[in-house]
Amino acid sequence: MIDGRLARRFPLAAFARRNLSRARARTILAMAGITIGVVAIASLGMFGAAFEASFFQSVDDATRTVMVAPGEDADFATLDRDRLDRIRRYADAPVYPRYSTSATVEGMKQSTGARVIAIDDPGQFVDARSGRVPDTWRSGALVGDGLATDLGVGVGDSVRVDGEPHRVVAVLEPDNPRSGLFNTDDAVLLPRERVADGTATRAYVRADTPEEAFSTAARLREALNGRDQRYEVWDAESAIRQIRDQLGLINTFLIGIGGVSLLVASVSILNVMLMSTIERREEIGVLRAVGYRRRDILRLMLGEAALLGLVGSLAGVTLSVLLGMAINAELLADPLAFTGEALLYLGLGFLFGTGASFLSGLYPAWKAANARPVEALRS
Amino acid sequence: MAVISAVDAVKTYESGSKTVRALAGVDIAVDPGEFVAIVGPSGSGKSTLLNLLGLLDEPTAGRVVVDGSPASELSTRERTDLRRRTVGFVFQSFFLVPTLTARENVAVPGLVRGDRADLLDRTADLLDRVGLGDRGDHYPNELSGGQKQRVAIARSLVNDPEIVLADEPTGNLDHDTGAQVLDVFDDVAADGVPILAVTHDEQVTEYADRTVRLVDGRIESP
Repeated sequence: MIDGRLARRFPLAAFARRNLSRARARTILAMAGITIGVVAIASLGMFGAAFEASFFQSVDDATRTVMVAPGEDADFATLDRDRLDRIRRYADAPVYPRYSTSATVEGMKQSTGARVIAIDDPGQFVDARSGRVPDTWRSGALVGDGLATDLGVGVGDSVRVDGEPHRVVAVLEPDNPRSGLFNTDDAVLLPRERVADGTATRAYVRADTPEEAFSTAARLREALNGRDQRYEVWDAESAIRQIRDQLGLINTFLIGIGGVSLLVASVSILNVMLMSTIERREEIGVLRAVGYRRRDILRLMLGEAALLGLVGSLAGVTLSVLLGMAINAELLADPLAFTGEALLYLGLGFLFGTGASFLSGLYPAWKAANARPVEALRS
Repeated sequence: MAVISAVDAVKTYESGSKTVRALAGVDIAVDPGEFVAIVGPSGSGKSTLLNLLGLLDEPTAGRVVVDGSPASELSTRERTDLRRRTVGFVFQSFFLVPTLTARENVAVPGLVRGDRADLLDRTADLLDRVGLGDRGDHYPNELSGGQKQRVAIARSLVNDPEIVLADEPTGNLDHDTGAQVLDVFDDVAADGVPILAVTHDEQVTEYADRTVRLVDGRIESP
């Protein structure tokens, strides 16, 4: 205790550490309480953060897309070349008009009426269940899942759309999980050049981030619409805000549960420290007799409480990181994908753990420091 | 000149509705190098006197003088600091810290203030002086009662006190180990640090230079 350099610099801390070794089981249990509290706060918080991240990862394409369509005050039903040019002028991101029409589609088994959608760069909007979605295309067809079943066609087969033959290059995922912007199940997607009479009723602006999409949407609303709502401009901002609010609420609730467990832990620290003060009455009296100031006793006892909290919290943080890695691996497919928010909760858990122990130590330490040595030493 | 003295010291306690007079005007002075034993029946005020001289308590009337200056009118902290510099304590039940080795126990009073650089050397010297140079790394539960009390004496000396106050120092020891402890006290006194021991034990008075008898809170004239 007086040999080490650190111990000589902080003798009371070394003394406090030695005191904790006297009731080892009690010390470990008190630390375990703090550890559980920290893990509860940190891992529940990190779970919430990872869940949010995974959610936005899955809807990423939709959230950074702005949709423009004729509005309720529009005197037009389609976005013709001039209107698309107007949209392109104000959007500082690629604009993809979506043309649609209906046609008779003929497959191996039968023919049926279906929706025909033409869009450039379909890889931005749909995923293939089988086959491959090309980025730019001049030929081939992408067939929706339901339609492919109805027609009995697969990749490599051919379909006739209004009599024109097209090779199926991909069958699409059901429910269009990629963007959710339009339903493809009963539709066939063709290159723009191959759809003669399609009209554009929607245009999508694809920004790099949701925030850019929101500002693009705001700019388009401003530029395209006067007093009338000639264009309907939709973005995911309000939807996202709503979801964020709800996720935040859930997270607050989870953190609250963690907080309660930390409260329980700090009560146990309070208990342990109080017992320790009572058991060591004479010993503390001796320290006062040999010239320890009341403040020295206070520091010694607070040091013990803080050490309990520090070690407990460090263990809690370590466990939480491991738990967080498991959560990340599960939800985000990368164990190290800690979001800033997750790290914040980690820090918060540590801070709360050490802080709660310190606070719990205050009363016992104050009590020990103010015990009169004469009373304590009366045999 | 006396190292420490009590002048007409009175101490009363409120015990329920009654006022208990523990000390009824005591005059005592301890000179450098002397070994004083204070004896008396239970309740005669021995421990109260020790607490007053040890600056652990204040007299209701009268005063305690340390190194020529009165100890009254000191704040709690000033009294604590004066106590650290001038008084060493030895107790009947030793009161060693169980989680610290003998060496560390001796060092305890030196940890908070003062020169920590040579603390290690001082502890080693003191353990040698009480004949426990080879027991420094033992924990209290590995030491006999007499050894524990000698560690406690070494602890009382680590801050170079002006006086060592002992409360029944042989109370928990058999005759032989008591004699060893009293030999150490004799050595300490011979080096100039006075010892004042409060005791029931006749053996202590045999070693003491002077015995003061306390009855009902007064010193009985010899």
